[in-house]
Amino acid sequence: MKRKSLLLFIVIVLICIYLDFISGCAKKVAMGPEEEKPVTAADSKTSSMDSDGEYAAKQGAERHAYQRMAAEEQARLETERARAEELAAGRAAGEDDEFTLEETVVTKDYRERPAFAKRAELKSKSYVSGLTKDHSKFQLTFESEGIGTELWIIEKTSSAVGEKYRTESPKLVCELPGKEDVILPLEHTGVDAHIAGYIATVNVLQKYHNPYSDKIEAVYVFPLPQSAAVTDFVMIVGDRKIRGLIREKEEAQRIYRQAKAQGYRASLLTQERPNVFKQKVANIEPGKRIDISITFFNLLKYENGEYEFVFPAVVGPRFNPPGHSDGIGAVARGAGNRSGQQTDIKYLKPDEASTHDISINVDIDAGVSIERVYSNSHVIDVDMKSPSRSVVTLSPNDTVPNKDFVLRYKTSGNRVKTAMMVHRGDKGNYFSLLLQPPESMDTLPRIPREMVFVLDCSGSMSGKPISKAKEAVRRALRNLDKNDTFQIIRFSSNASSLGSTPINATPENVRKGLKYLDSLYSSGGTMMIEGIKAALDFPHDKRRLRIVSFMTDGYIGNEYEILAAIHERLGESRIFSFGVGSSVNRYLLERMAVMGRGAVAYVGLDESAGEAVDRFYDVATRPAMANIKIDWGKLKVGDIYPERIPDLFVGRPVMITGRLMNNASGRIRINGQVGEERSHFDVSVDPDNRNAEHPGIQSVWARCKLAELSNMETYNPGRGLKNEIITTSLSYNLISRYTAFLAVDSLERTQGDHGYTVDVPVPVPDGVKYGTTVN
Amino acid sequence: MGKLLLIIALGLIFTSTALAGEPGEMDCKGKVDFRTAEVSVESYKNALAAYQIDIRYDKKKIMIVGLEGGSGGFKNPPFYDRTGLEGGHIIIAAFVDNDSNAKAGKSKVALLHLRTTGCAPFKLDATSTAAASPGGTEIPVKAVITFIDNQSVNNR
Repeated sequence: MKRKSLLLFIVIVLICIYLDFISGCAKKVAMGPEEEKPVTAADSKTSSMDSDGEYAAKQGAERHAYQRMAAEEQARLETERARAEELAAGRAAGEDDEFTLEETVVTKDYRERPAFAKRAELKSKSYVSGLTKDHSKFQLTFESEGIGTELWIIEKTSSAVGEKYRTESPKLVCELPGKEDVILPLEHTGVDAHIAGYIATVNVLQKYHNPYSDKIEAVYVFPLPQSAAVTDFVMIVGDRKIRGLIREKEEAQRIYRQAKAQGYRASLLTQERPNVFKQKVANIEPGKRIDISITFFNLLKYENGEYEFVFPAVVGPRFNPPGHSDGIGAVARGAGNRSGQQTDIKYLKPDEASTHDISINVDIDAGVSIERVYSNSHVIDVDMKSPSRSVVTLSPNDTVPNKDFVLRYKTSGNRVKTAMMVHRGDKGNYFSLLLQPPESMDTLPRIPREMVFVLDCSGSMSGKPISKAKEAVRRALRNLDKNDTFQIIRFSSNASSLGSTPINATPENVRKGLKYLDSLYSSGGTMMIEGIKAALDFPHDKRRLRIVSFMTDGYIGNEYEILAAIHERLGESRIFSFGVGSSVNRYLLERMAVMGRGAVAYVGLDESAGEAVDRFYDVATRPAMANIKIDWGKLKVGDIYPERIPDLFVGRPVMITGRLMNNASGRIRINGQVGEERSHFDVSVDPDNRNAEHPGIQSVWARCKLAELSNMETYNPGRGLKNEIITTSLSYNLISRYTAFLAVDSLERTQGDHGYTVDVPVPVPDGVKYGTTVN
Repeated sequence: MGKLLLIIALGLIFTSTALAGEPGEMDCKGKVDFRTAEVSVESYKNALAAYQIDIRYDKKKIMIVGLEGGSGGFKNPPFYDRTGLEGGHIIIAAFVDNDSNAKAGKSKVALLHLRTTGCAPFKLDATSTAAASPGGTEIPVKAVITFIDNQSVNNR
């Protein structure tokens, strides 16, 4: 009996162990492998805090920093105010004016409320060095130690101008507005570009740090040129460099989340649009730094005898039509909300300044004499190392990353020749051909046009951009020929037009057009699709060449829908897109022009629209060489991109790239049609010329192929091109919409959980009004 | 009755042991972790100026998620050919930034950052190696890959 009881006891114990074990197994099975386990709020703080990265800004060290900065700023303002009053009193006694100022900024009655002013340059420590006044405004100049001059202009309303003002105390001059410096995890962006021929090799170094008391993940949405072929990605931790590998996007995102959750430093680069990228850097410990190095190749634009290098610094606030969720949303920093779009960008408020700055160095090796180097967008220092080599540096006084850096240079001679560059690599040989229009096209007579100006009157265009756009249309209207017709269409939340049909460009009609133009103002959303429909569905006069000219900043999040609509409705129209602003959506504008068999031009806010407009519409006036076919002679080539060679316009070469099967040099013949006439011209090419080799050609070719595939997918989504895009992207190590660069530092695990997510807020682009664009 | 109970007891003991398997195996099955492997090249008496190593690994268990340089003249991350990456195959290569940094003996040339899935062992094999001295002469070398035991795993 005793033995039986003992056995029974053992059996019961074993059953209990067994059941416990099975239960454990069941739990594990239910949870699945660890890699599939979803991250829940309980796993970390991040999940709940991701929705508003600004939470981190309230934490620990930063809070103290703010308090200290606020106290310092207050003290500085008090000092400056006292000095301003003192100085103003002295000047009011009759001293001569010392400054000549051109800019008119703000109109407010200083008697009614504290005046406010625009800071021409934002400086931290400054003192009043001068004041001028006339009947309508005060102009204060501040000198900043070691940095430069800061200018304020306070203009009074007409009611405030008069004798009374002269007798009032100049103590009322101004209130000194201090911008709150927002400490960000992104400290600095360094751009280092080397230009050889018409290809730029650009390295971008983003320097992240953690000024907070908790671990963070930094998220930064930033622009790159739309044709950038991103080929290398390196995460730098101290003096260690970890090269990232390209992977399918979803897989890379999954690995990144796993590394982040386990405390490893990791970084992920994804492409949101061909010109918009998102950088995530996980597990930056308090007080520590992680740098990200991105390298890309980029083609320079060449037109009218000048090369143009552009580096965009900020993504403009995009409008997303109702019902869209895959766009890029604009959200106010600190508002704690999300836009509901796939990607959010947080914008600094007007009274906030970023601690993030930018430096740019461009080394131009032109190969021929450089005649002129200049930038209308930024202050630059130019160091001519030799007649053919110039090193350009962004001035330290112009480092706010809120507008495109546009550098132009002119080389000797009136035009560059058609040139071929090659690359011989392990994947084969590749070439790019910069095809110049023949000089004979310069003298072709202009042809009657039907001009349709489509003006973006949305909120983002308010202020300077709409003024520039109107200036451009005004100029173009005045230059119309009597044989031309025209029409003006405006769009914002909806579209309307001057009339329902094209009207003759008689002086009276032009006057009507100018009057209509004057009546337009900016407000509302950017329903560009309405503008597209209105313009492309417009009745067409078949006797004239129809040119639809979009004047816009392109700040929309539904680019693919717009491009698909253009593809569907283009008909016989040609699209000449005209980008207006300091940080235009160049991807959209250029794609519109390519799809519309036209051209693109830009005018910055600091540039005169006149010259750009004249050149642009002169191009539009002349017949292009269309339906181009190339007879390659003895040269064997394949996989040419773009598949359909763009039309050749006067002064505007096109770039073709392809695979090279042999090295036969000789002449190639370009056949095309100019008007009703068949035409051709010959050019010499020498693929064996070792001086014309560039390692970036292979990447440029692959980037063009990706762009072509992506475009085909845009207007023909059922074609199933995703796999081909992924294969090309992985084979050539190029980022695309379906792939991403990932780097993980597995050597060291950081302590604690993975902290808070901090979005890097950015300033709204120069000239764009925060109030009309940011939610 | 006693015999029956004995049979049940033995049966339970047997099935429990069979289901549990190795004590640590259930813990690591499907588990994702991150590990680092060091790549060294033994160039014996010759100075090592450049190398190319063909590395093969089990793609079901290992994924390369970062490439780092080694030490001395090989501090910068190596270049790589990702052609076979999805098939468990990568070729890494580098050359010294300066010939004076080319050293004889054992050189640490790279670190491989890995994501591993499942249980050890995780095998990485250097299947073929080519190397050159500062003058460009091909030299005999041996590549060795070892895990850095930073996560206390049974890699070795």
